[in-house]
Amino acid sequence: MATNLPFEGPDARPGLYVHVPFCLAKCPYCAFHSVTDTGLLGEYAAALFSEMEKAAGAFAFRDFDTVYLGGGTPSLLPPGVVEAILSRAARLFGLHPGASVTLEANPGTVDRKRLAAFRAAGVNRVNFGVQSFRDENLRFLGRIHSADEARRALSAARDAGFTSPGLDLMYGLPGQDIDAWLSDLSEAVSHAPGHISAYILSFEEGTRLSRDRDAGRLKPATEERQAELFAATHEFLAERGFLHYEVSNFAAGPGSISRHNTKYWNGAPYLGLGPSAHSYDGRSRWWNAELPGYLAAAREGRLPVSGREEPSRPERILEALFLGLRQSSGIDPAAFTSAFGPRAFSILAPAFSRLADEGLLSLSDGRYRPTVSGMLVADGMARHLAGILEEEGR
Amino acid sequence: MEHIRNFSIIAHIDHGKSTLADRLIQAVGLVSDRDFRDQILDSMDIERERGITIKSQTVCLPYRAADGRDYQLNLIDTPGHADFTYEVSRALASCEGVLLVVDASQGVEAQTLANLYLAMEHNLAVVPVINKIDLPSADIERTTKQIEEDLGLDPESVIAVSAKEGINIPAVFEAVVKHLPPPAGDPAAPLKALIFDSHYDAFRGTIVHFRVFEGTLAAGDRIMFMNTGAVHKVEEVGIFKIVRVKKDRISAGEVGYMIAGIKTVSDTRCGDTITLKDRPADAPLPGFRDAKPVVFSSIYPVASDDYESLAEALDKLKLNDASLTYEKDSSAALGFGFRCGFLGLLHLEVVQERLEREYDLSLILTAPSVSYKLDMRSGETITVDNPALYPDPSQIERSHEPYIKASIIVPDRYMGAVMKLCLDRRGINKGYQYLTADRMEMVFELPLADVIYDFYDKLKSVTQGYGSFDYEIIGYRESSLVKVDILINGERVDALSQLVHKDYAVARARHACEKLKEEIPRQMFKIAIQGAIGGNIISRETVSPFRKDVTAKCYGGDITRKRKLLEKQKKGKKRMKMVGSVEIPQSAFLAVLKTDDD
Repeated sequence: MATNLPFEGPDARPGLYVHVPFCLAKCPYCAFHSVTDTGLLGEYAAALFSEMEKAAGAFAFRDFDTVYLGGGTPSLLPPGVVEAILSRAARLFGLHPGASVTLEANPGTVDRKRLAAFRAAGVNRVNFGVQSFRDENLRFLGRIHSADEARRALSAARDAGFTSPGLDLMYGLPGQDIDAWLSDLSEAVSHAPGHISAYILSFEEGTRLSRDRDAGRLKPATEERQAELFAATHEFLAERGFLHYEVSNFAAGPGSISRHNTKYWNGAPYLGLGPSAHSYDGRSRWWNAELPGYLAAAREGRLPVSGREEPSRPERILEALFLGLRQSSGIDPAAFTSAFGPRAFSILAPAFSRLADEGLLSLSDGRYRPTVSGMLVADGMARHLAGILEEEGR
Repeated sequence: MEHIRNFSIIAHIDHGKSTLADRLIQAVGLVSDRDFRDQILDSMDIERERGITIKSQTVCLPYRAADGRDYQLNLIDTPGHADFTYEVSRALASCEGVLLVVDASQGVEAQTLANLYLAMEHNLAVVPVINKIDLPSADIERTTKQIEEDLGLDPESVIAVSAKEGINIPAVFEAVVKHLPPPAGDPAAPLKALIFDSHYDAFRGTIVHFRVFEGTLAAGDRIMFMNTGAVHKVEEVGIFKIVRVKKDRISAGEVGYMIAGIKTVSDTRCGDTITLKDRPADAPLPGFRDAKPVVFSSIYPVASDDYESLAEALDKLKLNDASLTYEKDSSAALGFGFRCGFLGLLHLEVVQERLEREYDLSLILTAPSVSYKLDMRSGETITVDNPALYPDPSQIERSHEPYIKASIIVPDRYMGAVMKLCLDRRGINKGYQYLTADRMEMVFELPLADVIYDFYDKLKSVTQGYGSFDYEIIGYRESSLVKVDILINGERVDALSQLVHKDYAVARARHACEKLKEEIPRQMFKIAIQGAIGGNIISRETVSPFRKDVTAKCYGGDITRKRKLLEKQKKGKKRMKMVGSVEIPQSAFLAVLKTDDD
């Protein structure tokens, strides 16, 4: 069931990410940048268009083969604005034929007509933040929509021509057992999604949930429970033909894999537009200011870039390790060697073997791929390997 | 000589010895009130914090008595802990009398008694001083009664003071003048001067503190240390008045210092006799012995880069601490370090704290060990204080370990608890006596190894802080010794090996494994922790690996933040030592030394 993704790397075609920082309500678990003042939508759109003009002059990205409108809640954008973004992207940078264009949607913000309009604007992939088909879970997660609205949105998407919409789910909620989760997951599968992102609930710093946890108001699932749920998720979806191609991502088939997100994990270049969006050109990473600074930059007629870094070699190695080990495609010794040299690989080879002996990696088709239990400790493996390289490489 | 008094202040720890000394110094105006810092004599931070004197100092107090005559009162300060009994004895040998300080609320304790015995051994006149009479809990009457009954001293001679509040200090001066005898000796006789201390001065080298019994010592003299035979030329002599005051000569009965081009304090021996090279005394003063370390531990820097700094720091400490010994040591687990010898556990702790605090080092210490004598089948006898050097057990005929005689003073309601504690530590009760109706002195012979393990803490806890303890080493006895090794994933961690009596092997191994399990963070792999004697596993614990160690969400392209998070988590491990493939935090090595809090 291992999937082979082409190793993309810095020479791959770039992706375009557009961050839409508006939400009708802030979810208590979310640490992504968003605001609830939708009155700023117009000014935001104008600023985005001006950023696109400037970025096209400043950066070398051309011929995007993926576009991803993320957020926030991109489905709050009027379809006309989405159309304008995509047509500008095509005009200023170029869109590769067959580019995948994804829109993230909150089920509470769309109907068939609106979805059809997005489709007409050029969106060919839609991904719903469903999170759960149980109303009590949705309330706990502070979602603005009900389970029924999610069901209606999925069916509306199909009616609008999105044949296999994707959906996001959350599990590992306090008190949730395997049966409760699998019944939720089972309903998700019954809607025949093309893609499922299933996230273990995490407690991000600065969120209300993490405050509730610290104050003892809620008890997170134990690590043991999370591991059981993770294994059960894998098993359940694998039996139903889903490819577990990244820690939290499952595709109904190789064609449904998120080509855009895969770029982040494989070191491909991407341009991020909009407040707090991140970019990578194969060498440097840079990022934009959040909304107030972003709008100010537009008013002053400059790019909203607020930070930049060029990762050092050890940093790039750590990135390659932790991103590679998140994916079923794992780490390709040949690609690793060509990127970082034979010595680095030869230092790591015994450690890879050890991880394989422990059942965390498997060597297949010449690649070190995380097993299911390996995926769940991908960060640990990456730190472990980077640590070995640091010790030995001195 | 009629106008000289040489005296010490002796007391149980915390009874206010240093405070009284400070008050005396202040009363004669040697330091202005403005410059006065509490406890002038305890100049090291650690001494101040713990309220104990480690490095003794001496001061000459000029005093005009009620009789109108001027006296020179030489106060010879003494270290205040059982580990330094020999140094105390040399200081007392330099005196004619002592002030015996007793806390008005605590009463007579083990060290009060031990110090009094020492004073009596030296035929010193004793003036009892009850201190801290300002405290609400002070009980002067009861304390006076203890002084009379426990110590056999004249209750009429008792002076009640508060050193802290400066109450009744003039009475102390008058008692020193009236009740302590002046020194004797012939300034024209061949020189006999007793070294009771020395300290290191960055500019002048070793400053030797001495008391002249016979003869005269002057700048320019060629002197000889009678026990070591070393010869030096005297550059300067003088007396201490907080600062050094140069004199032409120091004669019989006087106390002073000498600078003689001596590089380190280790080149002098506390208790040695100074005489003149060209006109030597017939015999040295009695009582000299080499103060030998009895507790050993290896010290390693957490960061191997700090080895040189550690070496320098030890060299510097050694300048002022003749009783500290050290030699290079190396461990497969911890790299290069030093095997150090100490006079006792407190001495070890003081050295560790000074290294960490004054030299900013982060250290790992191995389990303190005593020095064992092993009779080998080959017929030779070897001494081993380091588990790493423990020979093949099949080659050992017999082993011997050092014993101490411990004197423990407790309220009698704790008798049973103390008895149990000491018997559990292989102690032999050598008798007890009631000091008062409800306080008793219990005498035990105990293996030193059992005392350095956790005896102080346990004694404190079973007597709720009321027990006090003093000891002296009485020699070696046959033992039954084993070496307990700790294996992590099958690999022996040499720095965690311990030499223990076989009866304790299983308990010690179990304890070490449990502590390591608590301290070693979960890692990528399962970690097996085992305790073993040779190939025989006697305890086992397991640290299970992480099941989840990954962030669920990694999209939106913010790779930088995720990478930095991982780097931060990775840095947290910098204070760990890699043993094989397992990261062991510094705290784990320390935790193995700690006992349970029960």
